[in-house]
Amino acid sequence: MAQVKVNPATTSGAPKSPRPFNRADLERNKIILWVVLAVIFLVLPFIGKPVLELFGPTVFSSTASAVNSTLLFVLLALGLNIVVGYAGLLDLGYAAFFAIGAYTMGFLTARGSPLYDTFHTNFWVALPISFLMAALFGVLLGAPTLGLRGDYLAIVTLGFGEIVPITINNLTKVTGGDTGLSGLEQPSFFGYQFTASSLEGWYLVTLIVVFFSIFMIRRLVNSRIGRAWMAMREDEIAAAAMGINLVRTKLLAFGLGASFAGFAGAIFANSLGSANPSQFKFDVSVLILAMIILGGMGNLWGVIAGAVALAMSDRYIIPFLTEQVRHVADGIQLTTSVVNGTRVTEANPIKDILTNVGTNSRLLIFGVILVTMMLLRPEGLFPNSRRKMELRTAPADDPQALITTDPLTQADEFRSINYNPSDVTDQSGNNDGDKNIKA
Amino acid sequence: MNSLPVQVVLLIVWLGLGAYGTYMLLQKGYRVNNLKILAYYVAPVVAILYLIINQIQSIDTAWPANLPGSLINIALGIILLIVSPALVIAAFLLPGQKGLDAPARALQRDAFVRMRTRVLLIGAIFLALVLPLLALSLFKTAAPAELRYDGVISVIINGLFSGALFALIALGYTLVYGIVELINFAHGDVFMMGSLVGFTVITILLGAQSGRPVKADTSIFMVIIAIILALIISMAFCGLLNYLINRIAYKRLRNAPRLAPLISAIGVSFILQNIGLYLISSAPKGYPVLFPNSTRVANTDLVSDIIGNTDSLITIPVTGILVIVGVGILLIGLSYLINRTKIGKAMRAVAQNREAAALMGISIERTISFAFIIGGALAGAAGVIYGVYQVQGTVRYDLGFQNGLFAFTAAVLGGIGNVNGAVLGGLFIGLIYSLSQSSFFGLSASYVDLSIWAPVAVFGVLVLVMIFRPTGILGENVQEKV
Amino acid sequence: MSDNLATSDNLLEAKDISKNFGGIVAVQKVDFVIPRRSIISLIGPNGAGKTTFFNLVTGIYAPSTGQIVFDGKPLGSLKPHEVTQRGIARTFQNIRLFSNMTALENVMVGEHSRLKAGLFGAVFRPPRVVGEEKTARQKALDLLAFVGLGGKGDEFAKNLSYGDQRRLEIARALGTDPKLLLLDEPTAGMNPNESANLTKLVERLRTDLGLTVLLIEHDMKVVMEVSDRITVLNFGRKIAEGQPEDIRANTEVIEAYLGKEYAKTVAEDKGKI
Ligand SMILES: Nc1ncnc2c1ncn2[C@@H]1O[C@H](COP(=O)(O)OP(=O)(O)OP(=O)(O)O)[C@@H](O)[C@H]1O
Ligand SMILES: [Mg+2]
Repeated sequence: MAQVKVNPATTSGAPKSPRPFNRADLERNKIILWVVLAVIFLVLPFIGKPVLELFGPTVFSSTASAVNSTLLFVLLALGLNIVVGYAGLLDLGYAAFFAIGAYTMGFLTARGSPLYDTFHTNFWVALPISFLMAALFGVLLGAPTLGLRGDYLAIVTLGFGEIVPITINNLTKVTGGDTGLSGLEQPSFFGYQFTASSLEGWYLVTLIVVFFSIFMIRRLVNSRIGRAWMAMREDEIAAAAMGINLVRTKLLAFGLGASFAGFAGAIFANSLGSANPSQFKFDVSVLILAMIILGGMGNLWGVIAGAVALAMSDRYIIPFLTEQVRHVADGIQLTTSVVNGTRVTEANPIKDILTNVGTNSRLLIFGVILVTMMLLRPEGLFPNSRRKMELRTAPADDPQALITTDPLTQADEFRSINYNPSDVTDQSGNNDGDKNIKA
Repeated sequence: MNSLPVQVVLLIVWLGLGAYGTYMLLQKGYRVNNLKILAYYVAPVVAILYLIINQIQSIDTAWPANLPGSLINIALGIILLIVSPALVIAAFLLPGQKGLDAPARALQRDAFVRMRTRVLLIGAIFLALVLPLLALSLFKTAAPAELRYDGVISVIINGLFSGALFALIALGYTLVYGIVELINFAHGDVFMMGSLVGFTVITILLGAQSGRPVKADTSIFMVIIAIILALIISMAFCGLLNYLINRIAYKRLRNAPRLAPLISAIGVSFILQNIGLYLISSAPKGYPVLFPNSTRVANTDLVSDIIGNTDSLITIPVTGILVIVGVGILLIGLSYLINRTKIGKAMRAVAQNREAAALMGISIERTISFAFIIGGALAGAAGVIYGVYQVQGTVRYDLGFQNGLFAFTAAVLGGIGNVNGAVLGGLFIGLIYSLSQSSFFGLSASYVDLSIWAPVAVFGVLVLVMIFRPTGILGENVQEKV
Repeated sequence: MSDNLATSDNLLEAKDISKNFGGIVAVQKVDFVIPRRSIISLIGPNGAGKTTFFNLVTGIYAPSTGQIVFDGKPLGSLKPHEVTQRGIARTFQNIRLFSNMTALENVMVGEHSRLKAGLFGAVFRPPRVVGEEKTARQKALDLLAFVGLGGKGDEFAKNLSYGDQRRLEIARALGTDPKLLLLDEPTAGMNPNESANLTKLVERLRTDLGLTVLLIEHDMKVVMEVSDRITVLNFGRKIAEGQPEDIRANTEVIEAYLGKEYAKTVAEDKGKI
């Protein structure tokens, strides 16, 4: 290693990393790709509708509403990914912010809202208020707690996630209790009146929000803020020593994540025309968390893929499958006989079991997905190339790695202490997320 | 059963044992040991319960007229219910001093300061919870039921009973966390499965029906046998279940990032809930009423003998005795196990420093498995006791979720990883839960149903504790080495 | 240098600093001054409290007693990031790089507190932010070249060799634009050749960048070569302070390192010569 004497004030000719491609070309191709993608997604419902209606009268509407809620889940997953994937803060009560967004929208636009007579507004005004509200709650919860260690933060968010829906449920006079708020006034847009059944309209609204979110996140990740999040996730103490204000940086991630949920909640409530506390329970928080873990935390496209996979399973595939089981159960004829003049229906355990399985299997399926996913690929299906290594190797503060102060020790020995063999094997694959699929 | 001599004897026994125990524990150089503490204080606690039970008489005269008697009762209540636990707690915390060199003595001084903080903290929480109620009960003439001193006392007693159950569940969280640093999310559902197993055993053995009194010809003896069998089977089942959960869902993730086993645990929790749902469907069931002839322990009262007939509101379900005896025995057993046996020492060693323990030849995985088994067995026992105690103690598939969270809160409140802390936290959460369920501060049940706010109160406390004392009441504040 | 301790010339002054962890007194009543543009070494046997002293200066621990004045202003109870913003940067004894980030990104994280882009700027990238990023990137590349890592900017930090990682930590610390740089055992685990290079680098920190350096080091060759002054800690107390030659001859220091018996033989040997 030649020691070149360089004065940073005057030199700028440090060797650049080799780039085998032309940057401008790449940029242009990217933009074309984005435009094509956007167009495809925009026209999808208009092509999809006639096609799907060939299969049956309700196929389009059931598919489209599943797609719409999938898009909302994508939005939620993107938001939670900022908190968990980028900033490394485990949030187990994310659905609370979803609820706050939905109820803010509800209060401002529902005919049943206690605010209705004094103050109500339309969807377009209520939307930004909703996400600001969620962000505000995120900051209020985060400010005192973000100094806590990871596990503790998880617990606080869990507690908060429980408090919010219970409070909403209990404040019957204000929130309508467990029946919720209904009759949200839906927006119109240049004469197009949104209703609960204008699926294409909601699809487009959500799609635009999702596209903008992706744009925003990609920009953020490659910025001073994104670097700070990543650094913080890697090593908080070193990050602080580099001048990163941990609390503020975490708060930014937390508040931003919350505002995504607020956005999703507001659209969700208004598109349904109602909000109800049972929609924001713990299982929703876990579902969103599972999405980002399934896809590969910290990897934008992985997270989107995870969200699509799980949301479609939850809203479309699992209901479809369990319905088939129920059909089978319904098809089983019970044998009845007449004993002593009274009709006796024989119990049929198979029918009972099938009915039971067909009705009550959602949690089981999710549980099995979560466990097998963790056992087989704890790093997710499409791990972030950086994150993958983090997940594979032992934590950096492994005490073994710290005992390295003897000046007499040879450098080679240090390598063997500090470098985990799995690092070495991963080295070759660090720019290719799919390399380890068979591993 | 208005026998003054019995009460006097009990009082003397209590005071004597308690005082002797406290004296011993305050001695310099006395090595603190949970088993001894329990020995000194379990008898007094039983005596206390007996005394309270014996205080019951009708009070239908106007409230102020009872004031002198009430004051005596309140004083008794305070002594019995507050001073005694406070002593137990102080004893838990007192460090021994014998044979220490200078740096160790410095550490000890530190420990003493920490202890003082803790005792103050605990005292403050107790007082904050209890004093306003007592004060209100004194000064409110037309006090609603829960505001009269006896009402307050029964709220506290019920709180301590459910707290004891939370403590049992919390122990499972804390044992596992202390050793593998994993929040075992499925633990609450193991508790649910325990409750379900107990329900099955008891209904089959007694031929009884859900939520109904047992058949008239069932003897008390049979009932007790059934409960004990249910306890044993449920403990064995849940110990095994927890062992298997660890083997299947967590063991492979030992070196994975923290998130992985946590998510896996949530998955297991969902699976268990769904199994529960298959088994009992979504309609809640309840244990049979096991003691239909005596639903509460009610008797005469020392004070009322002096001031005249009164009608006490103190209600203690008979099954409360099961809670005290059951939880007491289990805690003594656990304390013995952890402090006296080889595997218990191994558990403590692994919790302190896994690498060092492994170097000493302790099998880490075996120790972890053991912690899971013990935690599971305690949850199983808690499940059965809960079902029996709650009577309409709804056996539901999602029973474990909220109770699990409460117990977990208890473990965190006490200082996660700390066994004594889990018990203490359990009692606190029980109290908070019970107090927030009662209608205090003038809000009578008809105005606002406070019970629906109980979870908010518990989780609110959790959030506050995390903000102001993240290590919990008994947790150590360790600075990360850099 | 040591005779020139007027307040205005001192970049850092620590008075009566103590720190205890439970029963352990890691640093005990230490007074310490660092003149501007000096290179001071802090040495002492393992567990003497050197790293703890760094942690006290950088705000990672709060001192139990005493106060630290940096650049004329007391540090008080500033948080680590605020200390860094004031102009103190450090490296860590056990390397704490952001291992899954590239070398370049590591240095750019170091520049964090000197950059301004906020949420809005990061998303919409006005020209100001684009320019800022460009300069920051260039500066990071320069710093990498300065420490001898030119061309390795795109490597993941974890894939660098041990010596390169130590150098990268220095570059990252330089990214914060410090006035005072604290180096915790920068040559630990390096071979003699690498150590010699690092010694030169430390000197260039002063000559080229005008920095003040406080160095913890076990390698006496390095210490004797670069230091203007050496302070020795033992069991948390300052037992000696002075020019390298004085420290080399100080019996108490030799005792602390080698034990009483051995110190005697060393002294006798000296007498013979
Ligand atoms: N966070 C902490 N908690 C408890 N004790 C600590 C902590 N940090 C340091 N110590 C103790 O303080 C003493 C001084 O440690 P320090 O790391 O400062 O030594 P050092 O001089 O840097 O030694 P070395 O040359 O081995 O790096 C040691 O006994 C150490 O165990
Ligand atoms: Mg050190």
